[in-house]
Amino acid sequence: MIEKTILLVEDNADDEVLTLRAFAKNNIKNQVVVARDGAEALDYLFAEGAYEGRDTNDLPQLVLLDLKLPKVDGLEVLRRIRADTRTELLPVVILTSSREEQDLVQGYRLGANSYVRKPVNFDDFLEAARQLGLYWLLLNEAPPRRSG
Amino acid sequence: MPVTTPSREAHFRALLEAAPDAVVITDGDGNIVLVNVQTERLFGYARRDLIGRPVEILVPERLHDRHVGHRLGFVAAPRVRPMGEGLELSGRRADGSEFPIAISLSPADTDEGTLVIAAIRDVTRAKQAEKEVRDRETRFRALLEAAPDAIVIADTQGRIELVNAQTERLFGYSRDRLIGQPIEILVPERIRRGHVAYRDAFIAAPRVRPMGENRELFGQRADGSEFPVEISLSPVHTEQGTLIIAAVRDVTDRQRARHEIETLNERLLRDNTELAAVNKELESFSYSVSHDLRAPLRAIDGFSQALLEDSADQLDDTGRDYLNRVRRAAQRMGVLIDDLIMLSRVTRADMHLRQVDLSALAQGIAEDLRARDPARMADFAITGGLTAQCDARLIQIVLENLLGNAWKFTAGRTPTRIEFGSCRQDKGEAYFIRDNGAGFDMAHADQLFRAFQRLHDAARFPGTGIGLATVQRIVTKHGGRIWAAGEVDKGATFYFTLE
Repeated sequence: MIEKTILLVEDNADDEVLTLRAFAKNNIKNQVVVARDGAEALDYLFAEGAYEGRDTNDLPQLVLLDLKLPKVDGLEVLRRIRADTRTELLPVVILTSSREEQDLVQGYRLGANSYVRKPVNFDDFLEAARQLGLYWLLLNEAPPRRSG
Repeated sequence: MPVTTPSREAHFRALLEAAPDAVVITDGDGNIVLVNVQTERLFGYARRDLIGRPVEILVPERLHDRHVGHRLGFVAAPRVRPMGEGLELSGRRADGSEFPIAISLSPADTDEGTLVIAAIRDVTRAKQAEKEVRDRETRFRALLEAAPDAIVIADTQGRIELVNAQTERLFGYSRDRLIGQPIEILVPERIRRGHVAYRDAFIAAPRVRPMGENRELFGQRADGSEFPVEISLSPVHTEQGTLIIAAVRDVTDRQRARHEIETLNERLLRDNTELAAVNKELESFSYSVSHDLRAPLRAIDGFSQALLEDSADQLDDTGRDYLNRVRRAAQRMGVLIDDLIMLSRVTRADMHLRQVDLSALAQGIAEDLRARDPARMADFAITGGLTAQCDARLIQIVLENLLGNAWKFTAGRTPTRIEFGSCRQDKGEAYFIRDNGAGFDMAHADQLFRAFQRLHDAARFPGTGIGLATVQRIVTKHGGRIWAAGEVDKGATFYFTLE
């Protein structure tokens, strides 16, 4: 059984710490892989660059994707995930500060499974993390894994 | 009164009857001695009623005296000639009606003296045709003179045959200085030579067309000055040969207007481009605000919270209080940013107008407010069936703010009463939201809708002071108006219209 990892794509170190803390507070014990920009996230998923040799069948259970990212932005990461047969069914939740309509619409149009806005209030953030974990890691039936 | 031998007379009579004209023969005293069948037909008399009568029976009464004079004059110096040269002649029928005639007279000397033979022709039709030609000519002239364009008619040699008054006015020449001149007199000297070539080409293949397509054309006035013109040419084929009609229009004003429009358009385009750039900047600014400014706030709040949880025992009450204050301040700034973004988004938002059920929206918001504080005793009176043509999402923001304010400022008021309804205004329907809450001093009513202006103590009634500014922008965007009435501690009423 492959362990259920979470890929957190987040360039802001503070947000990374807070997100990990929110998971811990909610007893979400899955391994969290952090990619600090869009290119790194893609390298991880497609086993390229620094992640060459990684088993591409070993997909995360969930991708938490920020939109505003260095190198390759979040929407582009999402587009490439959906364009590749290996990752097209991967659950992707956009987790971002932006509530701009264009981001929401584009995010959903490109096939985001969900769109969560990071609240300023940490109590609200905790609650959001709790619900995310509950839904995507426990309730949701993951898509069937492809055998490579 | 036989004038010839019987056989010759028979011959003469046959000739007379076959003549196309009415023939009347009178004696020297003007009495009718002979008429033919055409005379009977033309004048409506039987022959016997005419023979022996003075010829004036065939002349309108008003002309009798004059006719007698003419007749005597002719007999005194008889010769073959048309009668009444240059005069309009009229005949009179038996029924008294008159008709235009032409008469040719010839004397015939006989044994019984000089007879006068008059051949009379009805010229009603010819007169009519003549009149029609004259009328047509008159109409043509009137049309020509009334035309807004200068109209110049020239022959194939380019000689001016006819111009109208507009031509004199436009070019500053009197008519007689133009007639017979080459048309090039109206063309600027620098292009006269070329014009002759163009003219010849047109004559070779004449057809109705605007002149100088895609070229700027100029006329030259008598004083040598030039002005832009538009010319349309048409050939007319007459018996005297082909004529060219040129309609010349002064387009100075139109060109000036066009240049003005072009200049304005360019400026507009420039302004628009600038505006678009500013808007884009504003958009990316607001995007940054929304994204980048919130992240540090989240860190401030999140790590304060972490500190409170993880290191609570290392802090005294004052320290914990400080951290809570830090959190509250960060959260408040988060709300401020959200409200500011809302305000800027409202300004930029595209409007999608449709019929919206305002009552249903208000009802939904009221239920949300109640759910937030179920213990509160509150009475919502919402008039049903109020609809308006507006943007549903924007108007939702308006109602959320106004009802939210009413809810906020009636806190502690028992029972709370909040009303949504409509009333007639001079310019149509106004909607209102009324509460029995804290109210406000009308002296400050003008500050209500300014961003960041607050009339109440923030501790008692928290808020960012952006809500009403947002509401006002939305209402203004709809072409409507918003105003408020209130009294301290007696409640407030907010009215708004939607165009």
